[in-house]
Amino acid sequence: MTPIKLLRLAWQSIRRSKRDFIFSSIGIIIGISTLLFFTALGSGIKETVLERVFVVRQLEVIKKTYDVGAFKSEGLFGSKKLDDALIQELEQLPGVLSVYPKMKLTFPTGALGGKELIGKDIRGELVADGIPATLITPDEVDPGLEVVFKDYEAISCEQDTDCPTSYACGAESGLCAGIACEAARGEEQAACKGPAYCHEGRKQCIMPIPVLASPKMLEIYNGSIHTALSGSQGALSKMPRLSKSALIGFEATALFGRSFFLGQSAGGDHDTRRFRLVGFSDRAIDLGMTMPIGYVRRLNAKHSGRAESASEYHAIVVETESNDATAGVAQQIEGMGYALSDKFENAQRASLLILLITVVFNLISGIILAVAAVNIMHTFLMLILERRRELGLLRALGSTRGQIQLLVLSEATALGLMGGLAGIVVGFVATLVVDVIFNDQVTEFPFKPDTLFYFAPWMFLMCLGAALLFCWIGALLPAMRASRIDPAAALTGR
Amino acid sequence: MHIRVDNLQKTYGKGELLTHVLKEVGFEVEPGEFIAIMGTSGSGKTSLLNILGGLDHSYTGEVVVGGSELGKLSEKQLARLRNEKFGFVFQQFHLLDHLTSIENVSLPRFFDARKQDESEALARAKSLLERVGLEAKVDAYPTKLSGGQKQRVAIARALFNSPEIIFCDEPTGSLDRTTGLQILELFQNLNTHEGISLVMVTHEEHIAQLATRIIRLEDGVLISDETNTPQTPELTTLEHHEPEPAPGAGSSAQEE
Repeated sequence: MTPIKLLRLAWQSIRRSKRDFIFSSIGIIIGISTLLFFTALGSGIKETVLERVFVVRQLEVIKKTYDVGAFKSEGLFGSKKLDDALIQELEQLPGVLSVYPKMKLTFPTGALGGKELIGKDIRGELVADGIPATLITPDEVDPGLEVVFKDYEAISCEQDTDCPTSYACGAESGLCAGIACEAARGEEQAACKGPAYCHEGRKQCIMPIPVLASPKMLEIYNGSIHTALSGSQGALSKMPRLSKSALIGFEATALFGRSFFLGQSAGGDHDTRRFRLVGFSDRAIDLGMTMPIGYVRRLNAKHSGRAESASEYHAIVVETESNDATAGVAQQIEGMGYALSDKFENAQRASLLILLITVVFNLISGIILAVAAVNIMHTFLMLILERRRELGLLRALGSTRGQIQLLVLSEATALGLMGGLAGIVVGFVATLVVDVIFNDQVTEFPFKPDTLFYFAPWMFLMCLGAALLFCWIGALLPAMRASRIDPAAALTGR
Repeated sequence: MHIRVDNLQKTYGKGELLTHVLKEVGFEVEPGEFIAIMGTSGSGKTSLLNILGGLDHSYTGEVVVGGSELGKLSEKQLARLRNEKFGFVFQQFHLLDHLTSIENVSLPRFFDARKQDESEALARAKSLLERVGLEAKVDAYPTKLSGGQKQRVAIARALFNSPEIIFCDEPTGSLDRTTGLQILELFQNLNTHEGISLVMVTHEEHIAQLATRIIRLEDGVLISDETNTPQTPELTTLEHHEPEPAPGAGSSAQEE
């Protein structure tokens, strides 16, 4: 019997027992809809927590320290260095996708700005670190911006056209350097072309330092700080909620080597530079600004007063190929004598918690589906008892036992497909309803997602597969029983 | 289709409950014969028919149909034989109520290994329904048909794959006399004009008289096997139920 003939025959049977089939499919619909709902919910929460709050695929390698009373110590002989040699070693580990260093500013730095946003400049401390500019993708920083995330003071050139506006190619260094300028206070921008401005001390045009911020910082501001500030006195109470697009292009001034609260750098000298926010990235420091690592290296060399501060990293970030590979990579790194930041442990805990919750909910879906399978078995056994003569007749007309089995299983397949598809629709609609209620009723909080659910094509396939599987399980015994019907006995009513 | 039955025995139950349904039954059927298997209720005639039709293979002895020993055929070969060479007509019609007449008639196509378009199959089913006088009931469901019409649909279904032999189990048992006669006439035509072998189980003598040969069973034992001069359905009816046949009595009784 060809599959088409089989399906036609199965369809004829389904058409006859519509009510029984609809009744049987209710359990499958409920089971599949809950399975889709909880799987998508688990993945949605995982997406928010493990991709945005605790980025589990990013391991931050730090120096190993020991608790000595209230302090942390690197031990008698100091801990292993975080340098370029270690980066190369880490890149060779299996499961590692990329490795990049992080270097923090190791001297006090102040910041001044904010007039564009709140009408008044605010003074503060600038916490900043540096990462390789090549890590940043066009998704994170629009390459069409006039200032992008790159080290403008390390651009190799052969001629002036290789350099940005207001820069010229240095004949000896082979690097682009800002052209000479002279500007009165307040006229710095007009003295140079493009986004470059005339640096008062250097008397040359320079680009503002491009910096990145973490999306977490924005979430925390919008979710908590903004709410707290609304009750404060003065200009801060008028601080608006901020969006990424509104903040990109925001400029402020950094006072490298001179802090408003922490004093001056060991190097003694200080430098004033503008910096411009050019994008948001998960690779950026959680609270502070991240700039191309070349700037940090040069600034540390100039201001920190320690030679090694320009060659040693404060952390090395290891990105793994997948979440599943993270634990293995972490184990290898710890085996090498290095430590991982607390973020990893938090991410592991969150991951485990989410996994447990998802498993528990999916177990509930599994129980519903198992009950549905028992219900299907009951219905099919009943139907087969009712159809005993019909099945006997089919045997008389030339069907084999195997074809009778296939017929019953085809009916179960049709039930599974219809129940599965209906379950997917019901589950999907339920997620939309819950999302609407969540967005409408739940107040803003940090990292509040637009949707609680995350859908991937495999989830729909899994739901359909589960529907078919449980229908087949339910129909297996009835199918075997149907195939064992004695045609002679069935047709003579024995 | 040639049939040879040799030392056929069938039992039901075990131990003290063991019942011998057929005891050392043996006979041969030549192609084109119309055999009536006669016997009272419980004589084993339906069991014999089921064995000959390949519906029951729990027996001892030898049953050779068309050169194939049924007991040695695999389940698939037996199913194929039933589909391609055999036709079945039952007392209870066994039509599927959720299918129309044409769908019921074309049911054997689902199990036919030979390739046939659906349109061809439906055209054949339609022509068979016309042949049994049901051209107006092609799309009717069994619940809308009379007993005689249902049995005609069942006959059309039995003819669907052009069988060499049709096994009938009390085909008129659920019909009134007039309708039964029309059905029997149809069977006789299939046998005499198309050469289809017929094996018909009946407990009514006047129906057995239509056959070319009558095999009688009693308590599972073959007690007689005689050739018979077949009579027409009208004649048998008149002989057995009308002591003085009225001259020129016709068979034009209309079905309900």
